Amino acid sequence: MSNHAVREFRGTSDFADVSAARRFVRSQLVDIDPAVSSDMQLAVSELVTNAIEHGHADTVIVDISCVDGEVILVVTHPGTTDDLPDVDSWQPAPPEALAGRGLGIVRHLATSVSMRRLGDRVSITVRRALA
Amino acid sequence: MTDGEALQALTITASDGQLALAGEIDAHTAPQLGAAIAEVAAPHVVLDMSAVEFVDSSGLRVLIEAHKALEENGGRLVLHDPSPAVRRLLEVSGVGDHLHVEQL
Repeated sequence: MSNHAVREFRGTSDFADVSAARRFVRSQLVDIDPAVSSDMQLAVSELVTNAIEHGHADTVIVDISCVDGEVILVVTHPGTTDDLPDVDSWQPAPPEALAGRGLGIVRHLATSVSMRRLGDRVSITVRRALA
Repeated sequence: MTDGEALQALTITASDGQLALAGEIDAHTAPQLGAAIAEVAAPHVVLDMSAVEFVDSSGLRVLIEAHKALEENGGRLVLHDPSPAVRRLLEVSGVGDHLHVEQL
């Protein structure tokens, strides 16, 4: 199975678009292991929420593909890599911590995560192997 | 509102210190949950989480805040019958042991 879809969320002013991003990811992953689909919905929820919380909501692009035995989720938004901690430091937060848990969760759900700068945008790629 | 949007909403039904949650808990709906927990007059709050279809770290944050606030006042927050989505988040976040979880 191979498919690829991209959706832009523009002018995101509140968190209502987070559920729209999840629905989009779910709609593209109907034929795979539901557990993997659920994990990718959680990952996109964390990344889009993070983008909105950091004020980069003017355009959030969600790109999802399913190719060669893996799901690839790419979330791109305005900003620089300086806005986000190094992927290596995306670790589980201590149980009592209130914030800063989302990226550690994404790292845990992924087979690999990478981040790169594209001009005035930052792009986060989450890869997850299909068992 | 379309049926699709109706499914996204978080529904909270209160009865005797227990809140039954149905739907999705994210940054959009988590404040609604925080407010509902704060409104419960009893020191012990039980959340029936069997019908939670989705929850992310924004929802978890509200649960941890409520857990702390209730414990500080001698109370307790119990996550009752967590759905697979809730169990998965507790597992991947590593906070499952920190909260009171009642599996059926």
